[in-house]
Amino acid sequence: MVVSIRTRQPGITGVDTGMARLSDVISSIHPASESPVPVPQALEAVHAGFPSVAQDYFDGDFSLDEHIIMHPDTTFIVTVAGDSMQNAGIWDGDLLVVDRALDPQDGDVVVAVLDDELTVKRLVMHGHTPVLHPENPAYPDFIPSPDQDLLIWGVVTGNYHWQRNTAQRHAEQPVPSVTYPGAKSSGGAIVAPKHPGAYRHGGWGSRHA
Amino acid sequence: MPDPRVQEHPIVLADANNFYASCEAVFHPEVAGKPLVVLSNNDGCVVSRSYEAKALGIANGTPWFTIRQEAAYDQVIARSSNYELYGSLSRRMMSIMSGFLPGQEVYSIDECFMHSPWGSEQTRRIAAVMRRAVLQGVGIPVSIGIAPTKTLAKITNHWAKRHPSSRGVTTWGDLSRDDQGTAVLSSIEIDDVWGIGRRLAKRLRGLGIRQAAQLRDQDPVNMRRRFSVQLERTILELRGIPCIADDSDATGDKRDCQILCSRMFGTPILGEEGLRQAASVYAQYACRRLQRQHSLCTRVSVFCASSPFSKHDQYSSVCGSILLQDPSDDPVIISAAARQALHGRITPSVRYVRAGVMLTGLVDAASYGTLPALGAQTDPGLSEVFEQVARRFGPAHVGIGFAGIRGDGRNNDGTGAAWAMRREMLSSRCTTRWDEMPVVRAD
Repeated sequence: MVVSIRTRQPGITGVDTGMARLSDVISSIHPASESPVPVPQALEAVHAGFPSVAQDYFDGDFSLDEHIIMHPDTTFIVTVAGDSMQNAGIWDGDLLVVDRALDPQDGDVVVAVLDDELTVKRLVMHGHTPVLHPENPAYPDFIPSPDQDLLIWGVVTGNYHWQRNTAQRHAEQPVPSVTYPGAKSSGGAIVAPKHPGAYRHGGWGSRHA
Repeated sequence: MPDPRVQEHPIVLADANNFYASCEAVFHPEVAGKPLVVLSNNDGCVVSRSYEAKALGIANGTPWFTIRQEAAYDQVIARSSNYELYGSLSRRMMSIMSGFLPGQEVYSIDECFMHSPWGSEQTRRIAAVMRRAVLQGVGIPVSIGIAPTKTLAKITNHWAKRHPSSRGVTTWGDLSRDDQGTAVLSSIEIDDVWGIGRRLAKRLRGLGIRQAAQLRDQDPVNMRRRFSVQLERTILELRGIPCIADDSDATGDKRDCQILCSRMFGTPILGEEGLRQAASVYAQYACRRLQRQHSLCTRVSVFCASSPFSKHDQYSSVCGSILLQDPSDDPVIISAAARQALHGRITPSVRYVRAGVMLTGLVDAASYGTLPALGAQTDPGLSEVFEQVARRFGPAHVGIGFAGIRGDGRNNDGTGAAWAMRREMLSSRCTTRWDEMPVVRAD
């Protein structure tokens, strides 16, 4: 990329004079003997031509973000892998707008935690029992047992479906899920510590980088 | 019956529990409830632990390489510090809380003070709702301490974390109900009092002042004469008299005196060329911060040091400084100065492990004109172009020198230099990188 840099040489006006020589810039760095003195800013910018007739009316185009996202602090964007929600109009590769601040209601499409993974389903009440229902007859409902807690991660307020998919989906490399040798990638009970107190090293004290 | 010690306008301190470790669990339910540690820069030391990792006895500050084997055996999950994620979740958490109580001062990435205009009990009710809102809204558990002063709010939280308290919200009134808090203050070591550093704590211990209750009982005027006005204020705060003023610098990231960017290298650097590259990259990070706070700098200093733990080399540190002819925020000028600063001072055979760039002599950009003949050498728009490119394509696609060369793989795309910081166990940057967005399953 070629970048134009204004130089300090008198007689060069405007910006499109091509790259300044780096030596010009470096030559401006040398010890100074006095401290700098503040210079008052020029007063008002000077307008050329006429003020805009639209200035009382036009304030900028509307923003998609602002209209779709009601609670920016608690709203996250995630992407969908799979086809189990097609009858809800949610397709593989779609973006979901998920708001954690909303309390899930009967009929909401939600992101829930199932088997230590985030999944998207519709929340349906069967009497007093919440059931996670995929919107595709090829997939089964998930009905929690009486002692199981259903963990809802957030409520899907909407989704974006690509028509022309020019976007790259997913990172090239999978990110580490659990990092230790010989690990399984999910689930399992918490293993009791083998050597309680094994980590008490005198150590070097804290070496916070 | 109303509590006679109901405080008007208490201070509220909200402090996330095991913040980095908690952030790692938000988008990864597979690590929730398991022992997890987060490592410092270069995957060096443990800086945060989940409750389960604490229960195994892993201490903060433990070098990772000394416990790596046992950690594998106990299935402890390790993660590199994912600053992008932590910064993002922190901003959301602080924003949610600012909607509940006024006068928020963000003190660090995981704690903030707020000033409640209501009495102690009403504040407790609001704090409980606020805590649930943060837990539901961003998945981060916070502990809340409510007290007449900031120093006591810190002590309240500190005590509550050691004694699992009522639903995450504790007031100083709860802890000082019968004895003006003497029992609790006697259990707090002098080092743990806010504002007492290691050296001051040592001097106080020399006078027989070993815990907070003893400090509270000292004569404030006498202590001001012997030590400093800050210590007097701390004593008054321990007595419930608020006098530590709002730190207006703490409500933002603005620095008045200096901007420092200092990092350890992933691998040691030998020779001047590598150090010049590093100085240039760090200078550009510092320059971005300078521009964000609308300041200019007049002096660029660079320092570098070898390892104090090395068995082969003696510890050596070098620094150099360049005074700019005019105040500037131009990254070309500042990084050129940073590259020059150490010239001729580097010993070729020494392995340097850390370097830093410091910008000082900060002045407000608005007080300088942009007339070329006098005043400042301001950035003609280069940084803005760099930022636009970064927003669209990611970091390190364009920059001055090595700052414009990306590394391979998602862990190294900060800069491609061989000395770049190691972060081998970095989790996804779920809210800041489009290509690392969380994936939810529909299958």
